[in-house]
Amino acid sequence: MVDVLVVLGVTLLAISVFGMLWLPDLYTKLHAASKGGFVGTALIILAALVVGGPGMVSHGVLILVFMVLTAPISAHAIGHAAWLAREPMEQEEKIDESGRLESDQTD
Amino acid sequence: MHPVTFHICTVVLSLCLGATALLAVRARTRILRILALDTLTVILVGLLSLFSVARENAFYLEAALGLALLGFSGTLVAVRYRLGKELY
Repeated sequence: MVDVLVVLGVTLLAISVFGMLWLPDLYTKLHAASKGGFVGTALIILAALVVGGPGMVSHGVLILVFMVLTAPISAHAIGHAAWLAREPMEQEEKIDESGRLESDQTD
Repeated sequence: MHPVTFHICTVVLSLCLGATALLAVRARTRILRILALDTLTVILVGLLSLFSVARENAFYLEAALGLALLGFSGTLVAVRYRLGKELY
């Protein structure tokens, strides 16, 4: 059980890093890094909850709650900052629903 | 936890750390570098949790908690510094 959770978590983290290396621009890299990184780490911490005594359980729950609260905030901050700094989109079928980046490119 | 699993997972996570560090060094823009450093702290938290699972010791989780705290505040500060005061 513990080994399965840890292997799943490490696999997800590896996929997330592979996505960061492989995907073309910041927005898609952010997509890979925030979701995959959080879920992978959460699975490893769940393994710590399964295997450990009360000390490890309290610390693990604390880290899990903290990461649930902060991972979306930091991802949103990075994405919003990239949009404000006019970071270019580089994928083939790009759509900026605010219309700002596309109007920049037609100017 | 089986020692072979532990060693393989440690090697894989170390390779992930190296790749992310390379990405942070070679990033084209500053925001990409901030993203890579944020991911670096997430992977380090995962690595510390892995050590905590393998050795059944809560001290590694305390270090992981501190690192998660530092990574989050560092990311927000770096993003805010990058943009002046436009963000939030």
